[in-house]
Amino acid sequence: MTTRKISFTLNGEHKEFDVLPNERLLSLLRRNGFKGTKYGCLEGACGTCTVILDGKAVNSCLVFAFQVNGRSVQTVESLGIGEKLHEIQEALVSEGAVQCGYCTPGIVLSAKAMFDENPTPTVDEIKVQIDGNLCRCTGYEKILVAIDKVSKSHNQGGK
Amino acid sequence: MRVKDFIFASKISEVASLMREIGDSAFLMAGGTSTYFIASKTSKVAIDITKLPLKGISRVNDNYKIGALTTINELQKFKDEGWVLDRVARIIANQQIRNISTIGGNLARVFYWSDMPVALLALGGSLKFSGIASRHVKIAEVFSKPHSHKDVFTASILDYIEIPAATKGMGFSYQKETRTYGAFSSATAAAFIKIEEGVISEARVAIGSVLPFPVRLTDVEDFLVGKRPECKLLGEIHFDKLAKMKLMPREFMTDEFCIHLIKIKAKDAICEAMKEAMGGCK
Amino acid sequence: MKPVTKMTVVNKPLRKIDSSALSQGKKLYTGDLAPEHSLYVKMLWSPHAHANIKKIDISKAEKMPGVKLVLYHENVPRIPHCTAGQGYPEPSPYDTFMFDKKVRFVGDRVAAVVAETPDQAEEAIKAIEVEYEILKPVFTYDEALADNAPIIHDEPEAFVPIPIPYEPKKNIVAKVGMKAGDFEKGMKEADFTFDELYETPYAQHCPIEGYISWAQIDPYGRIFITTSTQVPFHTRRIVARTLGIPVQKIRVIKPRIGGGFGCKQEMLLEDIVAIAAYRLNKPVLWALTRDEVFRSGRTRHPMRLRIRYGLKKDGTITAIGLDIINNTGAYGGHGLTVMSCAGSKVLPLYHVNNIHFNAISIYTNLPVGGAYRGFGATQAYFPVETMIDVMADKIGMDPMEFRKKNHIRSGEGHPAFEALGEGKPGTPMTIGSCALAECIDKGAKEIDWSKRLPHTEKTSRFRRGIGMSIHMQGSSVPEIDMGSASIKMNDDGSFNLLVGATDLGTGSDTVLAQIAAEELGTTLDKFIVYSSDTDMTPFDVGAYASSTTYLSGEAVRKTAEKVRQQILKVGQEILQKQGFSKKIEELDLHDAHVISLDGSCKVAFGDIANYSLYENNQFQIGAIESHITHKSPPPFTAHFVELEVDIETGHVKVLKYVAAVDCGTAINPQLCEGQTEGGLLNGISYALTEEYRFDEEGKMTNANFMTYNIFSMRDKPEIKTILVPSYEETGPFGAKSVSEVCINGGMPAIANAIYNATGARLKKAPFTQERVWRAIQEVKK
Ligand SMILES: Cc1cc2nc3c(=O)[nH]c(=O)nc-3n(C[C@H](O)[C@H](O)[C@H](O)COP(=O)(O)OP(=O)(O)OC[C@H]3O[C@@H](n4cnc5c(N)ncnc54)[C@H](O)[C@@H]3O)c2cc1C
Ligand code: FES
Ligand code: FES
Repeated sequence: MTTRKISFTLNGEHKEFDVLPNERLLSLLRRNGFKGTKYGCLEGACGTCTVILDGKAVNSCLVFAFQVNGRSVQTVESLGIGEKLHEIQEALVSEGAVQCGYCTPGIVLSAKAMFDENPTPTVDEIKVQIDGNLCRCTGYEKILVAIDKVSKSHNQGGK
Repeated sequence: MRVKDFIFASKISEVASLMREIGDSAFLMAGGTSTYFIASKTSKVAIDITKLPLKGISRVNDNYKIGALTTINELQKFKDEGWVLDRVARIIANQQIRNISTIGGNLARVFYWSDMPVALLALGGSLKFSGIASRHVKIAEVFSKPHSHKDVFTASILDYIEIPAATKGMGFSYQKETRTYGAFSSATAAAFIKIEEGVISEARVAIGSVLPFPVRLTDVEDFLVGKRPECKLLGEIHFDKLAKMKLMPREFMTDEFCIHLIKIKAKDAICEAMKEAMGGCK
Repeated sequence: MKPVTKMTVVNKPLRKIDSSALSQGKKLYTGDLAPEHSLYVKMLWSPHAHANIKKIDISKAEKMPGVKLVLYHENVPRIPHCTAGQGYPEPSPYDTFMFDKKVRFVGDRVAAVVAETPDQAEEAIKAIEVEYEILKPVFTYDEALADNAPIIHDEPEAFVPIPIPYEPKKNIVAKVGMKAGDFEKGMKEADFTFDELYETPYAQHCPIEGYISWAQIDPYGRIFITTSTQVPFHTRRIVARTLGIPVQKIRVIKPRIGGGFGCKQEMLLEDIVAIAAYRLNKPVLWALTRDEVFRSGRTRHPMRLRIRYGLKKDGTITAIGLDIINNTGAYGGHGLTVMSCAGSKVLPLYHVNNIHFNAISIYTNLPVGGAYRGFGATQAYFPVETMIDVMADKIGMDPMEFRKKNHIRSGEGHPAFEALGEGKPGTPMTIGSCALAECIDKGAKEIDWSKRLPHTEKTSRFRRGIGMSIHMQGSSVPEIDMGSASIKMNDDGSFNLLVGATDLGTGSDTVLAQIAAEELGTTLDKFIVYSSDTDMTPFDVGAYASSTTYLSGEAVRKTAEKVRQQILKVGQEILQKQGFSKKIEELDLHDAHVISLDGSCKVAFGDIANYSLYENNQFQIGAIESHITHKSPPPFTAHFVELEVDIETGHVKVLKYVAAVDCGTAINPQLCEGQTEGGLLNGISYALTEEYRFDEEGKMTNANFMTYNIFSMRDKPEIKTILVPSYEETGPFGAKSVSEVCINGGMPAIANAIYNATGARLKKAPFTQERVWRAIQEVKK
């Protein structure tokens, strides 16, 4: 199988990559050093590998790399640079929603995509929007509380 | 399924000729979320159709026109008075899947758990195809048999879907039984009911999941039409057609429970649809 | 010791020290750290449940592009070992080989390919030709125990390293039992007797990060293994044995890991990456797919449990009989210990004088049982706590009052503690701290127990019910497990804390540092924690048996106490020079200073460190300490659930779940809540949805997250955790364990709530719609 060139915007920067036609976006990202995107099932069912594609949360293990040609991809590497965490990360950390942390980057991105579209989702809306990120450690209680806290802070003109 | 090459198409006519050129190994790719479920010995050439202008939902008189590339998430988020597909969309898979998978893809490849075929069988409407063979086909016809579905979709591109707006006097309900929200359905039923002058004038009831391919319960529909929409109707439904079907129980269910469950789901769907058509429970 | 209320670091909901970096997706997990040009392993797994390998031809595979090595039974050492990570010598059979001539379950190892890419390895796997002689498989309890049953472990080498009964010719892995009082007599004395069968399914831990390991050879020829494990030290020992090389040759490093819950208390991948890296002198990586994690990873043992009770009209329980058959699958790693815990962590919960407990572990040709949070107790609580409700119902007593009347209390012992150990007698003990009564009261209030109506008063299609259950577990394996720690002080008054203990996402690195910080009168942020590296950190048995906080935590506290003495001494010396003459007893550590109790003088940790490192009487302030425990104090919990049953479809929707927990002093309350919530949700889905389904050939048919359903946020009920403090004198700052006990409630509490809603009793889990519906049909009859 021969590689082909594709280009897309990754975390705001225009990038070109050689891809194998059968390669999924997850593999492309990880082999290029973007290891913030973790993986748990490689079959689209756990959300660990979530990235934001044109503003929507998608599973990068499901999307073929070529499918993002000409589009815009955002990974966790673009959020919370250095010591300064993104507000979603900050909320998850301070509420104790990060246990093993393996699901966390995916949850951060799902929440980010949600907030970009609707800054003040209700608890029910959050449950529906973040239903694709499995976490086996937390029982989701603290994750929900943390994300709700961010939503409430937006409601109070925090954003 | 493995992909050996990919091509981006920008016009329907282009897709049609590409499909002819590539032949059997061509694979139209919309969201691509079905690829883990498709077992294929040979590698495919993916024709990415997502750049085609087949997106968006619009209301045309008493119908909605839904582009084939409209995502499940867009169906979920769309709000309008006679719009009912949001109810179906919000209980499909999970947000990441809903964000990328398309209604066209969901209709084109029917798995036992596929939601849209069951919903649309009940809702009614038609599919518009373009490409090699350009035509309008009634949903009932497309999904009448697995092979007719296959015939219609072979070498065709689904352009858009037309469904009726559920206006006054109409009701629609979609009932899906799952272990968890993310799980595949173990029994699905959908019903559409129209009431005119106090009697049921139109009824469509479809079931899925317990069968490899969804079906309409036409005998139940016939029974309902002409009746007054009352609770006791539900107890009088016979399900003769269903009783003769070879079901495929999921989740280690026995045949006995499977048939019981799908009947309950169908009744629930009919009941809810009637309620909605009457504008509330009577 | 100061009261908990005066503590400044312990009992505070401080941030987990690694959580910021984790939330940013930093390269911290095994897979993130693998060298770029690692070779990849793929395994050819057995498609048969039971077969002899007559012939393997690897010649085609070896010549495939990118292939570097093919491993199978003819070219690796044949050394019997046990993959379970337990103290040495294990109370478990050495019944496993790196590769064997025989396969014992669908998913057993046949041959491994190491290639440049995973795809190449996969292709080469397909090119391996194997000829099998199919043997009759053993799938059920009865098939395994039948006369003339096929023998699963007929190899002559299998043995148990300590003298315990092991009868592989009868497919028997282990037997455990105890008697107290006179069971028969107790049954005779009873006004009512009960005799029921319960069954629990195969389930999997489903850590979101599956099994993954890689190894590389250091310039001096040693094997460095980086792996997602709960037991780095045991892994080092087991790999050394399996490869036939000295422990000294191996270094095992556990980076951050993406959950374990027990399944990584096992040496499962490490021998292969180690031998491959060694032979090829290249880094070798192996990660299981989710499908492989399900099929070939470790599971929760399915059990069949017969329970008998004798009961008097006044609510006195006169006898309990528990007979368990435990299916340990194709290999027997945890076969004995899981049954011990099913007894020792469950039987003591209620006052009963006449006890009969008999458990037997059997081999089958199904996936392998392993350690799973709750470890046997979870399975045994299903019948025990359901029957408590049944009995209360029989005598018309409120099940909560019935529990309150009969449960164990502080100061009481139980013969099971002494009788049931890990391949030897257990340790007698009396209960120290116990806030169970308060847990019950607080939980009942939260769920509004008083509004609970009997099922006979419910008539609608959707019926609500409230149920409860109570539980205990343990904290560490007494007299066997050891944890240790070392602490050294740095120039600026910061400390390195090195522990062998294994943080598998629980936050134990944070908790242990909180303990050290409290003892040393400084803050959490002054600690650089490094854990679980066999070259660098002192020994620890690892993360299991709810031991880390109680056992390793006390090791840390003792270490800190030693360092504390050194700091005080140096502080005294400095103050002396400054003209303050103080006795050690007049000094204390506070706010990162040595202070005098009268407030007259103080000296900062930075100055103390500088003094001791550079100025006078120089020495490294530091210590190393170890700890073993003499008891295993149980945490207690009361669980309450409210749910709704659709009696037409059997669908159960959990609405609210309350867990009131006594874990002693919560070193970090936020993390304790997190442990509780994660565990209880796992318990709920274990009760309702999780189960392995097999076809007739013993092949799992739902090895993915689409058909093996674990809960998502959308499925989660309202959860309320209530921490009820107690003080365990033998634990660090009064702490006990928390992580395991909270998984035990799901099955019994939900079963009891379903009964309260509908009058239907569930005895087989999970409570699928059909099972619930059928049980309801029984009631209607
Ligand atoms: C984890 C997971 C869970 C899922 N759960 C559910 C569920 O609960 N319910 C459910 O219904 N589905 C479920 N799905 C399936 C998913 O919804 C469908 O696969 C999806 O709707 C297909 O859409 P797609 O755009 O990704 O199609 P693709 O994968 O791109 O294509 C699917 C098929 O449709 C054809 N096709 C696509 N567009 C057209 C067109 N315009 N004209 C003609 N042919 C076309 C393709 O050639 C292909 O054969 C799940 C999938 C995953 C990965
Ligand atoms: S790894 Fe992509 S969804 Fe699980
Ligand atoms: S924190 Fe471990 S999986 Fe979510």
